[in-house]
Amino acid sequence: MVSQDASSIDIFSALSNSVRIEILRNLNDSSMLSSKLAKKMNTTVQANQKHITKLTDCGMVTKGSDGRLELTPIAKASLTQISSFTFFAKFKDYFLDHTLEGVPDKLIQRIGELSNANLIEDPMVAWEQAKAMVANCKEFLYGCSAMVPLEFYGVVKNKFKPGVKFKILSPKKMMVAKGFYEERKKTGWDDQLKKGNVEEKVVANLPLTVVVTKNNAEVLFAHKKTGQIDGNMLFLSSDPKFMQWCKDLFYYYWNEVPEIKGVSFKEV
Amino acid sequence: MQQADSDYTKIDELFGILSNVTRLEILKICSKQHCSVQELACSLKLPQYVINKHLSLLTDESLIEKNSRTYYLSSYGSLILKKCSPISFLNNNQKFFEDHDFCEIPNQFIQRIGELSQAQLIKGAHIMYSHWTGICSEAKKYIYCIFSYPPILVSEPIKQKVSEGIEVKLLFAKGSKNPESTEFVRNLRLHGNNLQHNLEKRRLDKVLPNMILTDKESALMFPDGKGATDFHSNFVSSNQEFCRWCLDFFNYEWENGEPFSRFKTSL
Repeated sequence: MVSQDASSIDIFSALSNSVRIEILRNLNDSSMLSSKLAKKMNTTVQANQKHITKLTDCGMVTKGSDGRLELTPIAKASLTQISSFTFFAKFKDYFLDHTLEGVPDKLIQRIGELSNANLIEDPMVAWEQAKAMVANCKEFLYGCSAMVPLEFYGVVKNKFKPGVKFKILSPKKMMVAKGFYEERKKTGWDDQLKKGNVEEKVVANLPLTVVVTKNNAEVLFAHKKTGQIDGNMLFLSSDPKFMQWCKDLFYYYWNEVPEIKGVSFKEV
Repeated sequence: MQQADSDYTKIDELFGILSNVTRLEILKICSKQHCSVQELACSLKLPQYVINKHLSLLTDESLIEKNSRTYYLSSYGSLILKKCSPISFLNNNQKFFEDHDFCEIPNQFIQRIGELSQAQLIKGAHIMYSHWTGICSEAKKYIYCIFSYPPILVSEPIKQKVSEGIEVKLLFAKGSKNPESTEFVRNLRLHGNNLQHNLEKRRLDKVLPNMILTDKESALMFPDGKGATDFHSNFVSSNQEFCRWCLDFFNYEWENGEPFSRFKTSL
């Protein structure tokens, strides 16, 4: 569909200049006269003029009857998209050898919501952080994970009494350590399953890990080459937008991906 | 010249790369298959040196990777290409959104606005009404609606579906123009608490787009520039992505809605 692309040139070329992006961002906060805009941007009306003309031609800025410059709905909606482009560009190296396979398109479109997250690249720090998340969880812990280490059950057994609820989703082919089922019995996990404080689901495939608690969330993606989850690098944050995105990803798997019943994992 | 936020100094370069029709086409073609320069030149009907120039810009930006003689989209490039779809949608509907408002729609749905790309923009009240009736009649599992002012014509097919036992959820705007006396309310016996078990109603302080959504097809109406629902043009489609957007939006609004008993007694 060439025609579709032909028209997408306008918005992209409007955004292809950092001064124009800054103008749009300023006007997104409030409409204003070009003199005030120039002052806010520490520049002159003349220097801004050609950019404002271009933005007006692109249908992104209009001049109200009172002379104030204001954004069109198209411009506002376009600005909303920028954070996602920025996020991908900021972590370009990461996304060149990792894949977002398993993330539904609707959440890829919202990737900008991860903007305030930190990418932890030190394997030791990543491991410690992931452990601390479980150890410090309050009220609930929801996780989709292709690996549940034995020590997880040892840590969470102290969480049942304070009333923490767990929802854990795993892939069908998850391999677990020897003594996995024994450990679950011993630590009271199985009892909590019966009581409904713990819920579990199994799906066919899970190429990522996402864990959400009341206070923070983490997400890990897979290596492009091997398809294995890269446990050495994780995005972690307590930013509300980031946590909402992770929660929506969890619930996508929990509610929308078909469940497989009656699976028992292979102990190796 | 003014230096913008450090966050944006690089992003403008990326937008510069994407602001060219040929380069976007190359990204699209290479997302489907590995391509040589000759093949790209041939399908885009451009000389090879032009293609080479664009390819070098795209590879410098790591959007495209090269494997001996063929080019293909990098994993980074495929993510960027996906994110281009809302921009294309906004561009294609620039005229429509000049006098329709969608700024108050929650951010997450604006970010996903590209999912509306496959829908058809249908204009004209008569065609729309017959479409809506059709959409309701085709429902097999559910009908979910958001109305600022319920169109009377759809009350018959909805009533029919309620009697067939199909799940119906209706979301109204608080204080909107749907008093108990309207035919819609009377016909569906929506007044009071004794609704049929498969029929539910809730209300919101303010509804933004209106929609009729079933397990088969959806229709979506945006407010005009003055905040009133435009009943003269709407997006209609059975496309999966489009219906998914509508369903997610409906569920989001439904969660915020409150159950209520009585409609206003008069206008």
